[in-house]
Amino acid sequence: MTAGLLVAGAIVVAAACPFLVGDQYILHVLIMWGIYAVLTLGLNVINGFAGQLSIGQGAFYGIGAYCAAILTTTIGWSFWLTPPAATALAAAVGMLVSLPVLRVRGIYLGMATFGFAEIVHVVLRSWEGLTKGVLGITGILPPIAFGIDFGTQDRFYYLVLAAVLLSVLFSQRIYQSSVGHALLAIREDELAAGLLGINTTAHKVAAFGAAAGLAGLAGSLFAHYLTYISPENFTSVESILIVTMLIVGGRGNTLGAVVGAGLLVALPELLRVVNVYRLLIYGLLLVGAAVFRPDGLVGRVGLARRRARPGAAAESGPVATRPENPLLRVEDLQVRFGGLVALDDVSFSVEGGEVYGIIGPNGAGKTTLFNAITGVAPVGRGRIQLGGLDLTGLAPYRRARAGVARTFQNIRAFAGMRAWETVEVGFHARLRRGGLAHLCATRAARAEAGAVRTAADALLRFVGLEKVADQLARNLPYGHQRRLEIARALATSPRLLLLDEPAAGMNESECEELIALIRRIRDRGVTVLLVEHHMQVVMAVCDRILVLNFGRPIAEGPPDAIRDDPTVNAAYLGTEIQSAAGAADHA
Amino acid sequence: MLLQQAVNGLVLGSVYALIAVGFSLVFSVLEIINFSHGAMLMLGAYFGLVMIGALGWGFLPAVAASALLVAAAGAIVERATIAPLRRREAPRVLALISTIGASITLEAAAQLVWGAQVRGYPSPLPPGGFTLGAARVTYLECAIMGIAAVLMIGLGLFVRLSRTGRAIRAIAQNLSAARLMGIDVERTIVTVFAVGSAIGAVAGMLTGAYFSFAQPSMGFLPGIKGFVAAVLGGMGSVVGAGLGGLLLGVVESLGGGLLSFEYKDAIVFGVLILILIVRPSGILGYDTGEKV
Repeated sequence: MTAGLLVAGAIVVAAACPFLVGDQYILHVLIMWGIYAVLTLGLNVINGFAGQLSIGQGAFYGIGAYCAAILTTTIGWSFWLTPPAATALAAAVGMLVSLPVLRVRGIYLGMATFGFAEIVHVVLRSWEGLTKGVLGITGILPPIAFGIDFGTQDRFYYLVLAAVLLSVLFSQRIYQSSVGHALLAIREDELAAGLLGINTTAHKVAAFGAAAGLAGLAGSLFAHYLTYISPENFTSVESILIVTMLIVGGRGNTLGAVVGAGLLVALPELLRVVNVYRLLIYGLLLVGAAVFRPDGLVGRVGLARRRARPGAAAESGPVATRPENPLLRVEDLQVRFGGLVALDDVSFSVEGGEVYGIIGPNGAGKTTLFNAITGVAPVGRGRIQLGGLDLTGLAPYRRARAGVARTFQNIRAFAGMRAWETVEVGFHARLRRGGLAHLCATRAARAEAGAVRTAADALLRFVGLEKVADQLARNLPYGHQRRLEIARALATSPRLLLLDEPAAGMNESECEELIALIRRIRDRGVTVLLVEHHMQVVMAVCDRILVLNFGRPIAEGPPDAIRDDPTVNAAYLGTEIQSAAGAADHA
Repeated sequence: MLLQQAVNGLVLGSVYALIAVGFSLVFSVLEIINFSHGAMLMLGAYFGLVMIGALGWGFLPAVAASALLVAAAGAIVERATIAPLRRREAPRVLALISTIGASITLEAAAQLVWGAQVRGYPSPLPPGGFTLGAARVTYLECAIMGIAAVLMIGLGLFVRLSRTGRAIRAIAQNLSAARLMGIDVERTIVTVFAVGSAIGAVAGMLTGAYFSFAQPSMGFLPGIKGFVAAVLGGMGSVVGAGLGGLLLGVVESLGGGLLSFEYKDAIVFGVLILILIVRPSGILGYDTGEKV
């Protein structure tokens, strides 16, 4: 409520600015703030939300500006057509470029996008037939519509203000919808996001397109505002400046993007009073901002939707489904990394509704088996089938959609997301309404989002985390993060759940709770594959157990048989199993 | 024509290699991009100019003294803009901003001290040279390639054989493990910055002499190109930086000469993007795949 009032107040003040400020120069600075705010809001989608470093925003800024300039000066399009055209062209080029470029990550992605921006700059400078080269394009028409000339500064100001408001709205819609949650998940852990069934490539490409589109919009405004553009307006310095604005303001934060843009537009102007020391102080302030406010001035998680916890809702979640037999069939599986054979001759099948344990000494290939089933490790030979569907060769996210979910040995909770966001994003692949419907918040999408929320709350209760739903995952204790991963995996409505050492680091009473939790998961009709070293847990919950040693199965059977199996005992287990039978703790 | 372009490319590439190795060493230990490296070139060029012009020193003593001064500057930049981020465990992308800040600060300082105007730069050698088939090579170009080769080989040996070099390689593998093994990580990191900056200073003086000018913003473009060279060769490898530098120089020179002079920078970055897509970790870099 107060946030709403603040936003309304800010809009009123912004709308009143031309009346409050008589000075044309200040109005000019405000207009430039608005243009850079749109650019930075765009970068925030790809970098702040999706976590992909792009140092090429200046390229799409330039493409938008030149698109608008060329369309008006050569074929006389009016202002009301050029910004949409510039936005669409920049977004299209952005998505096209992102397809190959998004294969690289981190600073290498930053470098590739930077390189693209340099190429665009060179093209703008050299393709004289189209861009008039270094001379630039002059005589771009100021916007005129309904007999009103928007070319004057105070009128143009309102156009820019409208563009900023539109961009803020767009950005907040992304952040608050399922699309934004998927982008955040990609930012926090792309691999884990893919294993929830999220098509990470499609989301990254769309985010890149959105970022480029907003930059194109900003470019068209810039062209119509100055009525003269040249390649020197769109150098790599611009791209770097926009990255700086976002980081100084606060990544992943809509307000941060706007504030960062304002600060870096206004600062050089304010520092004019110190004249020769202007750049010196500007540089030092940048260093200070990075060192003292690493999360940005506004912080990383701002304008976050805090939600009231609903009261006791009906327990829902996965319901018992018809057991399929066999649910999982692994045939003659081999996985090798170069010359190292990690798994060989592995064949087994798991009945629907079973809890199937996989044990073996360290390095036996247990996690590799999970990786092969989920599509993370390359399968050299053999087949993996889930209820008759051949998983071998499917992308990880498709396997997740087919009904395979997992947790990780070394925790991969989405550190920078709240617990409830983490669980809601697990439902992503099951959404019936598309991303666009969720972005536009259509009636059906709102209903679906509400249902997801209720279901996520139920799952948080199911694993006993309802009290910490609003906490960031990184602030949760270790045991809670493990349970959060289980809830996230259950949210995908899996038929098969792979738990990778869920008891690691847990004490006796936590193990008891875990045993109870696994049984309740099975009672919901989810088949469980369990890798675990903790024999107390394995013996208590598993219906059958497969023993791996050096990548090969050496025994399979019910817990009692495995306990007494001489090969298994000889391989490594003997004493541990005996002591686990006596409920002695092995930790 | 072709041979001439290739020779020009090798000269340019030698300078790029010297710049690249500064980026590469820093990246190998900290996995950050040090954007202030370009400013180090500029500082080196100006310090050298002062010693040659105002103090009347010879070129080689000026190179040595300038390298020492810039080594100190590099160490100070690390302490002031990067070490605090490490202590706060800030995300690495912040180093981008703080080093851009450092770069702007240093350029502004240079502008205050030496003025913004372009200054002529003396050549250490008389003009002239010799012909090599169809190509003409000046004495200065020979000297540039010679100095670059000596420095690159020396640095390669330093990283491979010296005690500090071993510490650098250990930190590149795993910083915290290296610290637990008793390596003075902070000192080694400062050393890396000092050495990288010193070599950058030499590259700056060579750039100045080759193009016959100095200017406060002169480090920006060569800095970017040096970084591209480091990425091309594979971050973290001295040999990679050398290869990347030479490759970049030759591609730029041949592309500019044979295809289109206007589009030469576009060709350079096009090659960069292609190589990144085909081999994301560069020619000699190794892929550190994600462990699940």
